[in-house]
Amino acid sequence: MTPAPDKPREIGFDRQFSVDVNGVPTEIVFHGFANKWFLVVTQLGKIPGFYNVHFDVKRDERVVPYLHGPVDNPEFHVSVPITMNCCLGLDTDETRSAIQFLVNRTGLHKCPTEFVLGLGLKVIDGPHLRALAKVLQEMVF
Amino acid sequence: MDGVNGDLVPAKESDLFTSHCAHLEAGPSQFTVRALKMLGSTMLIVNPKESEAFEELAVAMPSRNPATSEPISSTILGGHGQTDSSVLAAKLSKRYGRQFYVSLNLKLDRLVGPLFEKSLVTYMHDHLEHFA
Repeated sequence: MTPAPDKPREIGFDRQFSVDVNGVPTEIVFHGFANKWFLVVTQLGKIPGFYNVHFDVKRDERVVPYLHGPVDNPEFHVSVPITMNCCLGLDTDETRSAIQFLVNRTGLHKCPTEFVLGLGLKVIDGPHLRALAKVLQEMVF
Repeated sequence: MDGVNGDLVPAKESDLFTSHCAHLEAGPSQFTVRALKMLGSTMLIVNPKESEAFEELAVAMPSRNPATSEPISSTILGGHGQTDSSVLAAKLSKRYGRQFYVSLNLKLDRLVGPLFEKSLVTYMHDHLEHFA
């Protein structure tokens, strides 16, 4: 993130920026608290729901798909084991799949114990999620 | 942040969201307030200055019932029923007429509680552009 040259922008979190993901303006906020990580990814201008995501195995014992094998081959697919609780908003299979995808594909899997995620995506499909995972991986984690 | 390359679109200043961090005092204790202002809603995360944890989360919003001015509130993470977070969220929602998410992670007693609220409300009033 490049601050404006004339006036450095103040942010109140570890990361807070706007970025186009597959052409869709997306707001991203990240902060690492002592007990959990906090992440907001939304394309709706607000937070439509919150998920609390807990890792089922310790960080050092997690099998990270993109480091350990051909994740694009369904035959060898593995996922990082997580438990998701929808705290607020509509709980859908699509959103849960998106969260699992982001955990598998980004540095979210490095989270020590659990994280809170506010996720508001206009479209949930492969191309959009891969683009979002790339943005998160390169600009947040 | 330096790893932007390839077909990634560089990050830009956010038009929709703004955030702010402040360190305030309430009597002998100091606390940190992190604020995220969104479209029609604001999130506040309050912690002791020395260690920041995210334990509780509550939401409050103005009621759609014109017969009442009382906001509706709920604790959505880390507690049940009425919590310090939900009480503060309801107060702020009523005062500013917008949705508030509040994560209040302070151990407040009847002595420090009012000092904290006064310090927070005074700061918000003086820096309203960051909050509402």
